Amino acid sequence: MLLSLQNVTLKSYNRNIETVILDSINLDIEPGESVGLVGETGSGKTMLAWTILNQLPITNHTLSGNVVFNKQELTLDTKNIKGNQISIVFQSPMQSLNPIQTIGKQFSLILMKRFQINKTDTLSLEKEWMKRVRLDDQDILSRYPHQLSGGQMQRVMIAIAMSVKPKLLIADEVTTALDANLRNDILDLIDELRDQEKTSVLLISHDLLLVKNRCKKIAVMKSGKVIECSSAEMLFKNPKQKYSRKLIDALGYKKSKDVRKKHETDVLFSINNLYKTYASQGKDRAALKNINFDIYKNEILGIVGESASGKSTLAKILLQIVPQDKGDIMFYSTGTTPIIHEKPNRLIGAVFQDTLGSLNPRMSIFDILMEPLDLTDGLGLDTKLNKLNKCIESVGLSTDLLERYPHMLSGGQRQRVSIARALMTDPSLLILDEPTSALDVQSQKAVLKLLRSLNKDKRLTIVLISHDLRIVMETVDRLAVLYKGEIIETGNPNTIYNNPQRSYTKSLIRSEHDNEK
Amino acid sequence: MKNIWKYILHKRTTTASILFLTIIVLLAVVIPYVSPYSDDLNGAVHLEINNQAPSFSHIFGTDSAGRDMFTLTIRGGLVSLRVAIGVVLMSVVLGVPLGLIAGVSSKWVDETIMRISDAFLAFPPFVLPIVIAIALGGSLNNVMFGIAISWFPWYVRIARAQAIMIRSSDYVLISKSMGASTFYIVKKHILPNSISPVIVQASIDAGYAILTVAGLSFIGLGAQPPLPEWGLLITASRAQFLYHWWVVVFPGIFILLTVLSFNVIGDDLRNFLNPKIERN
Repeated sequence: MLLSLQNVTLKSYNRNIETVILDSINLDIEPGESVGLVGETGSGKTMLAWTILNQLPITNHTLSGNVVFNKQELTLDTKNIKGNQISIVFQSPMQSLNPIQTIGKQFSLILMKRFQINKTDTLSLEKEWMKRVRLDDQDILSRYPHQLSGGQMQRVMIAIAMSVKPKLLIADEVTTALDANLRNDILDLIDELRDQEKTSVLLISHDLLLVKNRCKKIAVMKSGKVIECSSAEMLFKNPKQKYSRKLIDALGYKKSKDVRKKHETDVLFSINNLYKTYASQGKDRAALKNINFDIYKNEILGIVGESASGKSTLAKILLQIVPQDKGDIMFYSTGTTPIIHEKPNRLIGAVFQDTLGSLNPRMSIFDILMEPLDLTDGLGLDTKLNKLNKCIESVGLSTDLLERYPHMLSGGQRQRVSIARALMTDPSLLILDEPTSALDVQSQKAVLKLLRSLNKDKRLTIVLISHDLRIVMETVDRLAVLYKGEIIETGNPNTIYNNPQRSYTKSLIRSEHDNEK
Repeated sequence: MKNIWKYILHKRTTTASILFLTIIVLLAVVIPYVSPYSDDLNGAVHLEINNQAPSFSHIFGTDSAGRDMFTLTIRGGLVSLRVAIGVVLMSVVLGVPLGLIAGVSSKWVDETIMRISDAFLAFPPFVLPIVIAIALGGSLNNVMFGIAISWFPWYVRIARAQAIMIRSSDYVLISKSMGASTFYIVKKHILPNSISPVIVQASIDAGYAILTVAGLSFIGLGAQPPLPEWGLLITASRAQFLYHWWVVVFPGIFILLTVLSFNVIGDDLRNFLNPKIERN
């Protein structure tokens, strides 16, 4: 037994109000074993990691139970274990690395401290590790964190974490911020190093699929408790808890609705030769290059692409809150004569990714929902209230939420508020930019279901923009693949899925396959 | 509003600070009517009882003109609080709108506003108020105006930084996509969300305003005798300080406690307005 948590309970106190963060946690990790820890946001996963490291970020708390590491009980005094025998890698490497030191310098400081060697000796070690995480083709060591990509930085973090020869590596949502393509590379790398170094790994994630393929043992966490802990096989075949069952069911997505709606032919929007360039650090960077596509009435159009592919820029240009450099958008709002769409229009609703950031923290939900109507002239109070009731009903929210403020709602509820706000003006098009990325699996399901029903019942045209092929495949009628600012493929999602034409689309679909295995 | 009182009363230091400032104001208002030495406030001279140590009849002692230090010190609170609130209010009223305009306007307008307000910051902190007070005449109001002129650029900067941050937030973008005007966005989204750092800065500046005016009174600008002001009381008696400690110590203690109170309130207000610090 390498690590054993026995009855670990963590309570925090805020103005004499007790909150149970971890509730009698029991968890064992054997040497060389990879254990998955799965749970939704706020279930206490990261707090458990901090507890193991004895580095809790909160002040007023009581901790009971034992954390036994390598037959030694961890207390405040066992500082030599933390960072020597236990390493941790976080979700966002940019925040874990010092922005004003080169990678090499940060790396050597850690090695010097760990192995009591001098600076010249660290260099060969650093180079060896860069090779092992496959970053040796460029001179990464002399660069600063901001000069690396997200994937490169995460490799550096893994190299640093593994270089101290830990017995346990805690990987906390290490791939959440990365694209699907990179995700598997990083996890393969962790697996490979684990085998070579005989390190145990605690893989923390909200994504059950990801953990399933990598860990023999999986613990499911909910509201501070480990509600189930069994082998991956057992868990998927025969989950003991209702909650685990729900999580697993939520994963089983229907890859292809074989009977998709008949292809729509009435054009609502026509986007022609769109270009957009941003100036960054003195250089012009093309965000969008020659974008051409149509949005048909009553369809759900999916636009899929990795981060920095120009997805959000495209959304903002469609909303006309960012002007394009070249090209035009024609809006067939009535009949066949189009108008040029060149300023914000109330007939287009928008929903963004950040559920908290999309809502003004100082406004109550009532005021937030009323805002679109306040901006429309000449509406009586009765009409407004009528509209409001209809909209919150159509997104499945209850009226008691109206007096609350955004931070008092869950992520899923907030996203429903955003959708309701977009519906207040009776739009003909709804643009959603990564609407589900910040949500857990169950809220994702619910939001996607809502979108489909809005499309069906209200005959609302929807553009769904996402990096997640899975949710797009499940929802849309037509798919466009955006890669480096260009639309490289459009068509029926099943056709693209089964027979991708471009190599980027192929790799995107392949990594999706890998996850499913 | 109900919440803020509940929160403030929960913290003993804040409650004490608010209580202290309230008592100062109340006492200062009633002291001319209840003090047996209210003549002293109008510059009466009683040389026969000058420089007396604290006693039962003069609990803070008397100064070199035989005036009762207790009456003068308490009445001085009114002037000092007027200074604190006046200076801060003028700076905020001048600075915040300019900052918001700079934050949401085109680059050209933004640059113009910022470079002009930077010009005010280029002066050492005491020089500009001195120059303005001398040019306009060294009355208390002119000194307050002078200080406000040299301080408002800080509020421009705070408001502009907030405006720039909030104008690119998703809720503003969505508001824009629904056709909201810039004025609507500033009124509804940017102003309410940028006001908390302004309030915090204001409460901290209130303490400094008292110290600055006390300092300027000390060199002969600002409050003019016989107007009782804490800085002025200390100046007037500085020659006797080594032999008669009470003439300096009591006004000094009141300056200290008032500045401290403003800082405690400001600090707590910041905690209250920070949504990340949980409260019930």
